[in-house]
Amino acid sequence: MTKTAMATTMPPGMTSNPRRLALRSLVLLSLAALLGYASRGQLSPDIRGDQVSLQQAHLWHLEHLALFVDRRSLQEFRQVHIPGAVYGPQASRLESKWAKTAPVILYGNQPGEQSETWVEEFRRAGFTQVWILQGGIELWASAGYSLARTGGTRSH
Amino acid sequence: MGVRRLFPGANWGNSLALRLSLGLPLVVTGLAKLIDLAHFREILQHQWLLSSNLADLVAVTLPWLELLLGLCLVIGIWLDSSSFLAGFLCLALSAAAGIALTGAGSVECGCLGTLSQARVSWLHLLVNLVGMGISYRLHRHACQQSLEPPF
Repeated sequence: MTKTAMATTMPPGMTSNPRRLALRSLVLLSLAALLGYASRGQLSPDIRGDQVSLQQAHLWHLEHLALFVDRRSLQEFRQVHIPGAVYGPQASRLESKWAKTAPVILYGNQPGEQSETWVEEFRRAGFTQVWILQGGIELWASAGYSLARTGGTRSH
Repeated sequence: MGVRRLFPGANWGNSLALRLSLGLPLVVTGLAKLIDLAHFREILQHQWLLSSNLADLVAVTLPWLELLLGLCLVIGIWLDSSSFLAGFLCLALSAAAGIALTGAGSVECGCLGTLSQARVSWLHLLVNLVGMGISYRLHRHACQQSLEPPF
């Protein structure tokens, strides 16, 4: 079959050589995977999979998409907390109040403090989107985002 | 027909424009993500679509795939497979954008890694749908062997 005849008889979108197409696609995908494997070291280990960035958390906060849970002491919570946050309840106490598929953001004073235990606790209770606020409330405050104290809200 | 006779290079010029319009954005977005893979992974992990492990896999593979496909399209080699994969990539990204827009929404698109903090919008969906159309067109041309270089 001549090239012109092939071009005119071939259905639109169909390849003239499926084996070549598959082989080349496989080579491209494998090459991308190999390069990705080689560059996996760039995924900084200090950014934990459970952490949510300050910017993303703030976005969710503005749009009321996430529940913020304060895991510090009651005294610290009364002094200052993220507006709308609830004071450190156990995961089981939130089950009836918050959808388990919606994001829950836990925060403390220091980043990384007890975070794995907190996340594990909430995940065991069935919450699927559990995050730790990167940098805790200290970073939130230093970024100038709004803060509240029991009985009123104040901007930082 | 008459145009092709008068301008034999019209088909080639058309394909080059299509290849560049699809290939260059892929190269740029691929490179932009490669600048900071950790940030791109973080964005992916905030999507509801991907589990943590899958987000890691996509974060390191997708930028390279975009770069490879973009280079193939720009240079003009392996057009059949690169346009085919680019079409699937656009399809997957369209689906992801559609789900993000109809779901709980408000996530960073991550298209340009750290260079942009734009959120997923209808424009992203539209751009990816256009990309699918261009991929289909290029794939058809490549399969008809009118564009494929002889190697």
